[in-house]
Amino acid sequence: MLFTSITFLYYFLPMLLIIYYISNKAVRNYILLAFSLVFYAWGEPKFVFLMILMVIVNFYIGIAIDKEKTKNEWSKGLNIADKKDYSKIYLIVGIIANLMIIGYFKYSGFIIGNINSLFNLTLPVKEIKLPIGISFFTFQAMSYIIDVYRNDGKVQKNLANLMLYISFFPQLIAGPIVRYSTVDDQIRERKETTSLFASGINRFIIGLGKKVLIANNMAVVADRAFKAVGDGTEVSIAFAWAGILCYTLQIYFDFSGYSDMAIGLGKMFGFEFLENFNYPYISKSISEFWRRWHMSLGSWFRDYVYIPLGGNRCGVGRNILNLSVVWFLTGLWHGANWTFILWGCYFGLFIILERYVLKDIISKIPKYLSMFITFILVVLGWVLFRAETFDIAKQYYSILFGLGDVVLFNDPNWDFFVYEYGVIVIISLFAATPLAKILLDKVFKNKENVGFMIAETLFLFGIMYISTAYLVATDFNPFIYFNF
Amino acid sequence: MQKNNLIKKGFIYTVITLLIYVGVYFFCDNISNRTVIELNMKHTVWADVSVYYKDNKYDIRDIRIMKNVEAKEEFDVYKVIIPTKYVYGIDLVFPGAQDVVNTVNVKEIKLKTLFSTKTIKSNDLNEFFVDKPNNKINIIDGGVFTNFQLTTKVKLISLLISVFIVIMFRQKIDNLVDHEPKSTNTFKITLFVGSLVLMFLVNIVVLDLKFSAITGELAQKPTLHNYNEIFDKTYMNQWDKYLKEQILYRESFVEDYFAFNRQLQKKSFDWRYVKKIDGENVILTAIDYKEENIDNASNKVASLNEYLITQKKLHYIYLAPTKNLYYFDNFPTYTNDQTKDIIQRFTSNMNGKNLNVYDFYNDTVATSDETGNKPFFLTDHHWTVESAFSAYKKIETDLINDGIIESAQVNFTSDIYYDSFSGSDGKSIGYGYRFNQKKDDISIIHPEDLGSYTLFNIKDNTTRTGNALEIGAMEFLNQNMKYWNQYWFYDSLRNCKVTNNNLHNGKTLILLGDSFSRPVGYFLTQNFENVVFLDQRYLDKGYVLNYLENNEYDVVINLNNYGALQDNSLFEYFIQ
Repeated sequence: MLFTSITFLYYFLPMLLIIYYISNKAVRNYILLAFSLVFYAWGEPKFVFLMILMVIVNFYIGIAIDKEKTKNEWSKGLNIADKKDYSKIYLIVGIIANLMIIGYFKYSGFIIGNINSLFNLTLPVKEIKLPIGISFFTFQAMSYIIDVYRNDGKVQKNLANLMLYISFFPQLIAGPIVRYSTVDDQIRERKETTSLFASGINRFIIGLGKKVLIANNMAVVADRAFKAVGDGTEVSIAFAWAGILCYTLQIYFDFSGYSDMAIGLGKMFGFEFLENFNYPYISKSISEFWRRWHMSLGSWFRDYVYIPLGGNRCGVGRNILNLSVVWFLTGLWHGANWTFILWGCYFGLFIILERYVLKDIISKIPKYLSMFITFILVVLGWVLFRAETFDIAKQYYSILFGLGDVVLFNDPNWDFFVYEYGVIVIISLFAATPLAKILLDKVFKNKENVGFMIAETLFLFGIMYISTAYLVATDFNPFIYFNF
Repeated sequence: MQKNNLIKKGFIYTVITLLIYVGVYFFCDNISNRTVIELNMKHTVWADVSVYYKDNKYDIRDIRIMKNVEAKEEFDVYKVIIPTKYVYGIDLVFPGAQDVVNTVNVKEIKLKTLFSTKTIKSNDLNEFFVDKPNNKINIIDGGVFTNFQLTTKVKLISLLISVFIVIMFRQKIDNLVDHEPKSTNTFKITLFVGSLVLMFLVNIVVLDLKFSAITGELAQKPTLHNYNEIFDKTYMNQWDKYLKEQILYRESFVEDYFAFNRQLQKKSFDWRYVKKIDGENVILTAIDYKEENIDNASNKVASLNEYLITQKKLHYIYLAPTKNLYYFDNFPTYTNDQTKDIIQRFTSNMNGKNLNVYDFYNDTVATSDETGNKPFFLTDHHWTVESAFSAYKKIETDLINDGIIESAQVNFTSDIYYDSFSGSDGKSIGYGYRFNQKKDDISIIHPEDLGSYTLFNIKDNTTRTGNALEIGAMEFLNQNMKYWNQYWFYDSLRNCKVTNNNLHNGKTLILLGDSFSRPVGYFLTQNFENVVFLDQRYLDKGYVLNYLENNEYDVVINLNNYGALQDNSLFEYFIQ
């Protein structure tokens, strides 16, 4: 089920709100769990069992790790001769089990395909359907067992609670990747308050508007541009830039919109998830961009891969290797395709350069220039991310840079972009910066007054109404996370 | 200070009471905003039973109850749910009754909303006993037949419920008054949750509709046939579709979607574009095409020509222009309209096979320039009657020059129905009801002497006799129903043989084509004793050849519009 569907908005959500809030606190987690499973099963009726199985496996591994750790602590306390610590082995088994699941569904075709082309073989490549959100929930499952192993989170002895952590519908299919240590206490005990609920409404509706009103509109131009390049149709330099600009906006509003909706929904049920985006397109460097973009993934790789590898407390060579591994994996996480891997490496390269070569230069560049340069680098990176093949990416780059026989403006697609989507793009660019927030803070110094309350409510409900109109009137509602 | 607090308290109490009242009223109003019409009747002719109704806000709309219902000798109840509680009138339509006497006996009509029911018994229904060849019966006509407004009792109960809720929660409301920031949050939560829950409850309770006047048939509650449907997601997809299509205020949402996008300066919706020309919104539809489809059309028409040569029959190939070529310069520059490519490819293909194609484009434009009439409808893709008439004149000239027919010995006259036709292009992009888009005027050109004609329906082997207007089912013209306007678009002229009973020249024309060709064929009944209309799209594959082999005829005319050339099914003249 998608948040951006009538089924979710006008049936699933109100039903859940009613049942949740009229129920006793003791059963609320079970209600959330039941609804979360229905939510997932609605879109993946077969793979819901896989998810449940995965949770059960991780549940017992968590218990085994905890038991082993307790046993060792107890032994230490009693000064009993050292016993062998199997907790690490359990952890490794758990990680391998999780990686095998994601590896089978997401990467087996890719690996076999590469082996075939590398060794000129014809091993059969089985078409395996990718369960929605598998990258998110396997990472959350791994987060759980690692946190238990590290004593960053308490072991969950209630299977339903662990299942809720992994399958909780707001973050299940498109993140943010919630770390077990950050929600452990909230699952056990949380307080639903009116202020949290109200801010959840704000976040949810804003997220809905970002996805339905902006991202879906931007997708039309982006799809047109990439299709034209893929089909070999003549595309002007201007429209190629327009297309990738629209994709830049689409992916931001799509992804951050989903995150906003997830965070908002979490708040409605008393959860506070960590932020996932913080105006990434105003970053002054690539490193900063990644501190503002998909923060939950960045911090996951930092804490569970980069730091265990040695982080930056090591020599230059080792640090470069660590960064390379992390960015290779970041690319791979996004999709089983060399374009994604190259995209990850592209950012890794800039991060390494910024750390070891460009550090001093960046600090001297004027703020707006560095923002602009960073933005362009990010935009160029999205070509690799969006293109289905290297050839299309190559062709797209050559048009962007005017290589070969290309025109600058003379292209009906450019007119299409300007006349049909010009207004929306301007609004979107504005919305991608904190300008609106700054402006609002200046105009409404006191946000508790009635005027602001009415204006804000009208604005939010306007977005909700128009978003519903879009969902009712059109079938175009692309889902960008199938690759993830 | 105390006084201020009292005013504040009074204000908040009033606002909350009103909000709850609005919610309760909204709920009652919407769950009752459906009328179930139950018609207990029997009839002697197969029926595509439909009900016309007028709703409070919009225009005449129609809802079909059932399609292709067999004649019923026993009384049976037909049920339809319409999205209004304001019933202004009901007509029954029996397309099956075009040619035979239809006896309809309505025993009882029930009109039910949630809060009231109106029953009309048989003794009040004498006027509904119909015994004549008619396919439309006004059982309730004109004026407000019933207007199930929420009663004062319901309004009062709503208000009492609101006051009761406020009293129940007075302690909480007092707390809100004292803690202003919290009250902001509570206000927002109440509105959000209230709206969602209200929409949810109303959507659950309100009766489902079968058809929407704007968008046609609506998805119905899915039934699970086997568990595989769950695992392959078919069942869930059906539910998604059903919930989406049955949502309350669906038509308002659709229309507001287009309105909002127009505010964002968007002009194109799928392949349709809205362009203001001479102060009027014209809806243009771009045409995409595939080269192989045009080649297929050319080959099939050429093969037909080869066959006709063997039969020593004349074959004329004409093209009817479409609106997008006429308004080509008005399309946005980025429109990928490929009409010109279609014409060019088809014409050159045909010329390559030594076949001539005559394109009516110039005649259409010249007639429009000369008379000032619009060549195409504003809200529909079809050409106007005047344009079709000019094409007829050209065909008549060609046929006279070739010695096939003589000039028609009739005077034509024109009746104009103003503001009476709303085409499908307008409806499909939300133009129409809400924004009072001007409807099209429609002219009916017909022989002054209405004469007598027999229409033999090839599809169901039925026959109907009537004058020049009656065979066109003119009674539907001013009722805004494009596809009930049989003269121009509907089934009876899709595949039929019209015989002019006053013309005895023994000539038979076979007219192969689409909806653009039908009015032209209608005029040609003044030159041919028999005109056979064949639209291969609605016939079995190879039907045309079979018909030609088994029937007498003098000449074959092939007349299709540009866009139709890419429709393979139109050219399945032969089985292979």
